[in-house]
Amino acid sequence: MAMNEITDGLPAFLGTQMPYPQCLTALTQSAVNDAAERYLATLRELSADAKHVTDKMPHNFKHLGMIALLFPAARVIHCKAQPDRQLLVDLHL
Amino acid sequence: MLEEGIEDERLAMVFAKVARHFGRQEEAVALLEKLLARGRMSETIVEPLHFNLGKLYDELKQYDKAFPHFEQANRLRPCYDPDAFLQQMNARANFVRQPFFTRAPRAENATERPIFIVGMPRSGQRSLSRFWLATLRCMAAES
Repeated sequence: MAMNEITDGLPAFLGTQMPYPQCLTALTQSAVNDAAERYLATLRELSADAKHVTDKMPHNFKHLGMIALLFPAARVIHCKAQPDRQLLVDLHL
Repeated sequence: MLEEGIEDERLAMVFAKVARHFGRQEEAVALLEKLLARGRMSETIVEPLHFNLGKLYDELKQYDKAFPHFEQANRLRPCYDPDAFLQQMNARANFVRQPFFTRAPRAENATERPIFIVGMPRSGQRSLSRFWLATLRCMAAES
């Protein structure tokens, strides 16, 4: 289950008409635990013994607030391109 | 639900997506055509109906019928508006800066298992992910 699937289903899961992210105001402890567990279950399906699982889905940046609520101890890495280096990569130099 | 005669657009689109696994694309085509002919639907529903219908015809190799549906879907799809997108993202960022957010419940796990990598396309996310896959006991969720 990707982060956007969790956030898409969150209003219905919380039983509110408010869209995401406004529905976060209705978040409960059990709901946030459950949502985190559903994501972690997907990771276990991918690999039972990997120490870490990277998730670089393109739209994750939209859900950083939700990620902070679901996984308070998880790392978030922000990759930034340097324009001059990017030019060299694009020209295959 | 379909066999009970429930004709719901979202249900029909789920059927359209899975129909090929059961060789039931023609049934899905008939259902989607029927729903489109009925009219009285918002563009947000009509657009994916056309898109799914195009895909179904494409799978059935009826390309002449597929193409007009893809064209219609693309006409209805809203154009990317960078200003509106920026406004939406700023609103979202401001939303999580509100005081309620610091008081919002956090999940009671201390897992460090997921690592989220964010950034612009071509900013090295794939290289970083591959590096970890090669060097650590690591797995990529998006794969």
